[in-house]
Amino acid sequence: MSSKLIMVIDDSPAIRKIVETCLRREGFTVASFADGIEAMQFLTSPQARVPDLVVLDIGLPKMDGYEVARCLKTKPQFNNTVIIMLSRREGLIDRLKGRLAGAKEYITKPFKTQEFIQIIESYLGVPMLI
Amino acid sequence: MNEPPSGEQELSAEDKAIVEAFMAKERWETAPPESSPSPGVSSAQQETSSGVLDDVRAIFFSEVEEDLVVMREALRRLERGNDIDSARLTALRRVAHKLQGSAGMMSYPALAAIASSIERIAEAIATRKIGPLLGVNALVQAVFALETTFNDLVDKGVENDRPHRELETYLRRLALGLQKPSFVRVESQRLAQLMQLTDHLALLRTPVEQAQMQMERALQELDAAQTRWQSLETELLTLVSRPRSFGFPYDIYPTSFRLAQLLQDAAQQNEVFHPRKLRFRIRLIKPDTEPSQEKPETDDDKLIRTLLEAYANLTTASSHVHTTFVHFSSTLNEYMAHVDTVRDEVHLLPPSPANSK
Repeated sequence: MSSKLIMVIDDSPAIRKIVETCLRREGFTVASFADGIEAMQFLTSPQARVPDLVVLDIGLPKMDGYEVARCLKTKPQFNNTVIIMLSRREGLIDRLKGRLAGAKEYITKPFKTQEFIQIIESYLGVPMLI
Repeated sequence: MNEPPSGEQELSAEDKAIVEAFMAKERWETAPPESSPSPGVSSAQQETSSGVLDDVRAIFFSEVEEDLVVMREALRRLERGNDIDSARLTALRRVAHKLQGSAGMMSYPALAAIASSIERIAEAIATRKIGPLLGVNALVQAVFALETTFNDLVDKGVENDRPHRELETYLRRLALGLQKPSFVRVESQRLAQLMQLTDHLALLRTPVEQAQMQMERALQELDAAQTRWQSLETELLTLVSRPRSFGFPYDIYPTSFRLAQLLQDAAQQNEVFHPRKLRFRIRLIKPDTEPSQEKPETDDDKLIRTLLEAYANLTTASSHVHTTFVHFSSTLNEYMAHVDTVRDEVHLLPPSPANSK
């Protein structure tokens, strides 16, 4: 059985590294990108597959997280892809905007990695480590 | 405070081509690739846990160094330019916002707090809550605090909170609108004018209250006149409907004593003393002893006259209500106009910080 693919899109290298590390430890395959354009470039490559889940920061350069989420969700192939928004803000409007853009969850930074993993696994299940 | 803006205007032609290519793509792999994934992709087997924390810390330090370069460059351009360059401010806000998140994740609260202050100052400048000169100076101080804290962290491995506390003191002293100041400075002349206006406003309250009372009295009079009208109407209708042979044996005499009393009461209570009514009163007082030399009034005449008088009372009371209402309305309008003036004056007070020169 193939490992679940998670895309992490955040402009902070430190946050990408933290998220990547804890997800890989759990057995997920992770692809991380500094912005939505990089992520879309990866997705247009021939070997790309549709991610099972996208961890998406809102305050991104070039295109913000809402725009990236909307772009992904316009493709029917991404209907089953879970989008989880990351933000420093804890506003209701931000949450609502995230929902409208197609996000399932909204996590406020800073977050505890254990809680983060629990949320991811609530959608993707616990991976079987080989 | 909103997320720092980003948008299509930042997309290069190449970026747009990538978005278009993604939107045009219809098919994706369903199975994971056989070969090694792209550089950004790795799996659990490739990762070792040793030194992860050191790696993350090194990445974070490198990130902060890069962010500081961006901030210094943005500040340099802001200090040089005559006008505030919104693109520079946006760049500053975005970098500060990102740093706030990553420093928070790394459990460096002082760095996160300073980054938050930088973001708030930049936003305050962008929204013109503070002037550019004051704002850029505050940004310089904040970036300096960030550099000092970061250098201490790199050198000693421990975060020093002192630059952050000093920055907060500096910002409080400037009262930059980041928090609402406890005191504001206003021009004494404007304050004196405002106090004069509020005194006048207090004085205007008495005429309004008096006008209100007058109107209440006029309404009571109208109410009494209406009651009297209804009472007379009932009485007169009863009399009219009664056969004349029973109630009025002597048609040549003016009226029954009861009717006379009713009309007299009406005249007295409503203080209507026009000549015609006065004559009528005199006649009513002595109806039987001095038979009128004039043509005696019939009951129909009397009925019409009585109704007319009651109607006149009503009209007078109604007119009085109208007059007092006009007066009350005018007084109230004057009062409200003055309230508006006071409100406008208050809004015009410049809320400059208490400690600004």
